Amino acid sequence: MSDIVSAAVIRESFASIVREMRRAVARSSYSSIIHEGYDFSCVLVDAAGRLVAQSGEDHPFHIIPVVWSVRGLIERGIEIDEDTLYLHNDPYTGGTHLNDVAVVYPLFHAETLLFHIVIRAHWADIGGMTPGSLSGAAREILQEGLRLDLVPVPKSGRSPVMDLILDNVRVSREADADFQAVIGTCRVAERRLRAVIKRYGPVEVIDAVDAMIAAAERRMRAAIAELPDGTYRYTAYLDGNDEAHFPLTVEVALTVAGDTAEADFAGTSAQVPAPLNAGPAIAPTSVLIVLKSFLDPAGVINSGTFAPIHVRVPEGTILSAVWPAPCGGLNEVRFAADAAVMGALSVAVPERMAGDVRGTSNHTYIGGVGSCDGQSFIFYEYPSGGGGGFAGHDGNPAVRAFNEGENVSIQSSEMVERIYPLRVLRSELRPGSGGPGRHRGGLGLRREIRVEAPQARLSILSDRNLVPPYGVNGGRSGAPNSFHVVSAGRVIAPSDFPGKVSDFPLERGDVLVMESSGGGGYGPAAERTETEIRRDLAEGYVDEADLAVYGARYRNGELVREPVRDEKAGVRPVWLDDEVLASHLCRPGNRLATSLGLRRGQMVELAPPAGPPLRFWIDGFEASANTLGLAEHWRDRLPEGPFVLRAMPTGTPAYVRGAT
Amino acid sequence: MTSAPDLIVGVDIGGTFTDLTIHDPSTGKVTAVKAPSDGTWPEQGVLAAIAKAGVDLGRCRFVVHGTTVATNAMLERSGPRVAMITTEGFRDVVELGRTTRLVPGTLYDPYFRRTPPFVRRSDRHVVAERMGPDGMSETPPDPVEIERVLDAVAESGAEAVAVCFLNSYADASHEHSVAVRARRRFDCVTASAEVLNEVREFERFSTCTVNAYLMPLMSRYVGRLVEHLRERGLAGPFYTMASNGGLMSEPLVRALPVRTVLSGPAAGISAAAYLMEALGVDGFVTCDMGGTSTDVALVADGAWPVKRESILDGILLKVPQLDIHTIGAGGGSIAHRDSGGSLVVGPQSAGADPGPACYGQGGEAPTVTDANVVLGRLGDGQRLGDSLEIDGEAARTAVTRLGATLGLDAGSMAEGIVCVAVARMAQAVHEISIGRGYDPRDFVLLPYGGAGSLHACAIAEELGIRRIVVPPDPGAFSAYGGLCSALFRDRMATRLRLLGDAAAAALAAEAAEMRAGLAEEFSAGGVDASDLVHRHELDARYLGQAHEITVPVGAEMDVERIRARFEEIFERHYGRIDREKPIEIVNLRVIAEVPARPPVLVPLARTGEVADAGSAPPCRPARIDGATHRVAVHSRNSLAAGTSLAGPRIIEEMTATTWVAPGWTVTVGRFGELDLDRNSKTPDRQGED
Repeated sequence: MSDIVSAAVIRESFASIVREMRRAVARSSYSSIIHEGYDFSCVLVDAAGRLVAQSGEDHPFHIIPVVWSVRGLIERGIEIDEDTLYLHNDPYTGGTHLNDVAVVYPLFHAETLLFHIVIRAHWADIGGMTPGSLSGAAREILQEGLRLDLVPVPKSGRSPVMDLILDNVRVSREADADFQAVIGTCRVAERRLRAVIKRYGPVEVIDAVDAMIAAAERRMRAAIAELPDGTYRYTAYLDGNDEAHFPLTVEVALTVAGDTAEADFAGTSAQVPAPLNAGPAIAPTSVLIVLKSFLDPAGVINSGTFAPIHVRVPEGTILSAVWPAPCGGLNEVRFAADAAVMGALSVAVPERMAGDVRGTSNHTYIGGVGSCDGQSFIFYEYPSGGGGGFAGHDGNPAVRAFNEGENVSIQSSEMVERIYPLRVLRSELRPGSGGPGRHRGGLGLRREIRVEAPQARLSILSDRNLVPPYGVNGGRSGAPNSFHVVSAGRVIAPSDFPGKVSDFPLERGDVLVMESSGGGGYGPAAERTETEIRRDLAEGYVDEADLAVYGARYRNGELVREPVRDEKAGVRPVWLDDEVLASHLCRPGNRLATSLGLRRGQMVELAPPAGPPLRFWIDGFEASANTLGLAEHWRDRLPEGPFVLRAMPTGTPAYVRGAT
Repeated sequence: MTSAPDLIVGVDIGGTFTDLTIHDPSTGKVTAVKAPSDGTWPEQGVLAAIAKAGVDLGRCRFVVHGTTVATNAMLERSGPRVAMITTEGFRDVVELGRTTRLVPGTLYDPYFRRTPPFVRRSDRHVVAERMGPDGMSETPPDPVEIERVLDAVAESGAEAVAVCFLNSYADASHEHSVAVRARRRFDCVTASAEVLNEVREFERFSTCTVNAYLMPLMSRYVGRLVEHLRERGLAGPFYTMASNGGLMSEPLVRALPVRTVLSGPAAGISAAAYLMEALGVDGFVTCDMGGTSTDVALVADGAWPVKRESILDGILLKVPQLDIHTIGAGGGSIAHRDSGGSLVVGPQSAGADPGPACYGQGGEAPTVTDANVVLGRLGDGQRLGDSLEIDGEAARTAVTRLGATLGLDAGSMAEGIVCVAVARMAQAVHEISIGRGYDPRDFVLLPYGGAGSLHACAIAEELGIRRIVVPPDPGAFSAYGGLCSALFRDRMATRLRLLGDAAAAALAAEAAEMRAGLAEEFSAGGVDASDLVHRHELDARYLGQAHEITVPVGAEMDVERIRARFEEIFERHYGRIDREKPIEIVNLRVIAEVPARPPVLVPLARTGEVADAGSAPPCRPARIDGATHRVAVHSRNSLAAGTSLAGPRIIEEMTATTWVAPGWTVTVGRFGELDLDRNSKTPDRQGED
């Protein structure tokens, strides 16, 4: 058999093995985040730590961290033992958050290490201060559970170390059963891999791996080569938390040169004592996912795919945090990095881009003790948001986006009512939440859960409650994520800072209202057709009150178009000579402020005709006309105008000096 | 003297042709005719075929009908406007789904478009009602509000109504009362628990709305067809093939048309099960390789593989369906070099038009079929079906061109293409076998479809399978399926309870009720219900798991036997059992079947003769593992039962070609099947221990 044919046949075998692994894990797990949420990944890595195969249905954000876990074994010179597997979840050495535990299962052939079978699965709890382990209130990683940095465990899965781990997590029987299911799946994969090695011979299999990786690299290089050369910049924001009276920034400069791409995240915020940090494997993951998705979504992903991509991340930032920064919300940071890279890519190829998405996991936990059986329970959901609009089509309603993986983010309401002392009152779309545009962003969802137990506790780790998903090419933002509690008819905010809730007490009859974000729009809303606007109204996707941004309103039952009032064209950026002015702040001219009704602390968007808008918070006003005063920082970083200035809806907090 | 009606007529309406098969049990003769299908009026194709066959419907015992009308209506969205009445707060369940894409292979696609549900949002009406999860009514529906909603539905012009209430699986009385009111005003009304009496609202609502969407269309179509058949003298019953391989009566098809979606491949399994039962084989793998895709299924212990959920074009359907795994590789699959320089086969297909290069209809891309031509397994000038003749030169040109881009000569390229296609099929068989806890080496391979028997030896060798049965007329094998199917109906209910004596007693009583109900249904449909055969199944799991496994059980519901059977199946699936966990029953299902199946297979009349005796069969050069050999080519019709030949051989017939690889011996069986056996000294290619 020629090399090219055996490479193709072995590639198909590997694909089949990872598919079989995926099915085995999903079917034999006890915890719902695995068997209903599909929050796990199954991959094959070679002895050199290169990703060889993944199923194509795995969570994209696990891919690079899985490789880092194995790389740790190699780089630290750990003597890999044939009868041992290694547990890894440490964010600082390439993990995601502590709940995601990778099992690295080495496979030897004739005393030579050939492969690692790796399964990374989300544990429902890994210890720490709150049920489920993820809490918006964590200030250091020790509050988020156990750190496992390549901990050796016998392949039987039984050892004092394993007992120690299981003794320190909640719902430990479930965790143990799932762990055994993962090991069982590794054994299944081992048998099949051994069959492939026996059939083709170890040398041929290794040659085939080399060929597969080289082919994936050529394919990615060809895709990158189609982009225009240049350096493209964008700054994306996270809400932050109440420790930080400013939005956290992720800044990227994406340089395309021939068939390679380099992303430099210099300028990204320093790490924070809040769960809004990520380890060093996350920024490369973002760059890979965005480039792969927008340039070449088909085709296999292996280490060759990321060979032409180089990523620089300054240590000690929220994108490459060091001990003891908590990393529970790594996905929040990762989504901001995705938004930054998408924004930069939008500058290069605006017509290929889509509005931004949810930007957070929306981890929502209700934990407590049931009234009838006295058993403790943890309810966990992470509601999806609307997808971004793109050329030719509106965004999808409340569906997993391209960068999220096919995880089931809300449970069956009937199962919730059956299993937990909870009632689901509402599980609906969230009208009006889609970012307006020529192609509207998809709608988010609204879910209302009533507590039936005497008491329960609510924890939420969410972001983009303040900074909404952006639109592109003139499109508007989607509505941000939002959480509140209705208790005895009163609406209560479960935390001072939106989206970061820790152990908020709930009582019987309290209703948690979860609202996920809409996707960003694509193209100017004023260009949306009347047919589409009428349909949106008829179907209840948009309310009549939302029509103004489309430059439309109803008069005597007739839809009439009129100018859009909440934005101003021809705004000129100027650089202020103010050394303390932070880069996220701005000072509009007085006349501009009056005509748009701007207030101090409000968020505004400076939108070029192509690409994403830049966001600023109003620090004060200048005695000038149509100008927007910005920090010197922006002098070389602004895209080409002309610019429109857009007032964002009220409710954004004051990220400004001295504001309260 | 008029004889009792005895003919059995099978109709299979495909996209291009409508196939009619007539089985005469008195002579054992099966006659098949084809007529062009009519996309707009599918019944016209049936009538044309009947006219062409000249069959007297007055002599007909019953008609079995397989149709893609429902599947096509779903794919083409050609159904009417439908309305949904649902619990307040749950209007968007069918639009939200599980918040997933439900379309494989779209994970990194930022331009993915989610399939919209069949009921638009403005047609989803809500009412203030609530059934508790324990089956206790909390807020009953208000009749005044219901009538007001029905007025709105009538005004909207919707032709069908789906009533979908939360927790109706626990108690359907709210849903039922609204359905009763709706049925006074609309012909097509369906309620979610009637379609799927099972917990999980999205799955139930989605299936119910699809059912509503299909009702007006299927009801009209079946009505017209039956009317025409009655006019032409049909007195016996009219059955429709369901997606689980059973037959549905006419009233049932009108009520549950969703059960006919994806029934196409079921006929093949039905025919396969029938043939294999006659041969005394109870474990086999079917491999139906057509032009664009290959369907594989595993039948173990004689039990048909059933899955309870499938996804069609992004729409979730939870109806019992034969568990058939489809791979995007068939005879027409195109081989190409991707932008990274790798060899990829499929999923793009040359289809029927232009088809593979060797069809000579303008196709230039090399396909799996072209590779077989280059290898000599299909002959230059060989006729395929009625109208096509293989153009060997065109195939060679196409394969050579691809080979040049990958540095391979035509022969090596062709071997490579076949190799990759075979690997994909073998892996699919492996996944479905191991995934269910079986070893494929213990199974017989049954290839059919136009391209199945050409690749069967290679697939079997990859899997370590040692016996292959090629049915008579493999390219048209599925058409026999309807004739071999049985009439069966099922009932199910979600009954969440822990396995124990009390649960078993309750289940036994409920099963008895269900059996009585099923007998009534059969009697009402004019079927003699005196000798029904029953099967009982429980969907069960360890407490805390989400996925259930289906456990066949006895009517007596013996706790220890249920536990033992559960553990046996669980261990086969997952490689472990967990004695500490209680077993939770989720669903109870009873299936009643009318046992009589007509004798369709007839032994070959001639035995022992060798038709080719006296003259050596013609030979043609064929490539085997890089070398060219002269291989004898036989016409299948000329081979008598009992004939035994050693590979390599090529056996040609109108609808398919069988490649008997070296190391295999083919024997013609008594029903005309080709029985291929792997010579015992040939080592397994498969490496697994």
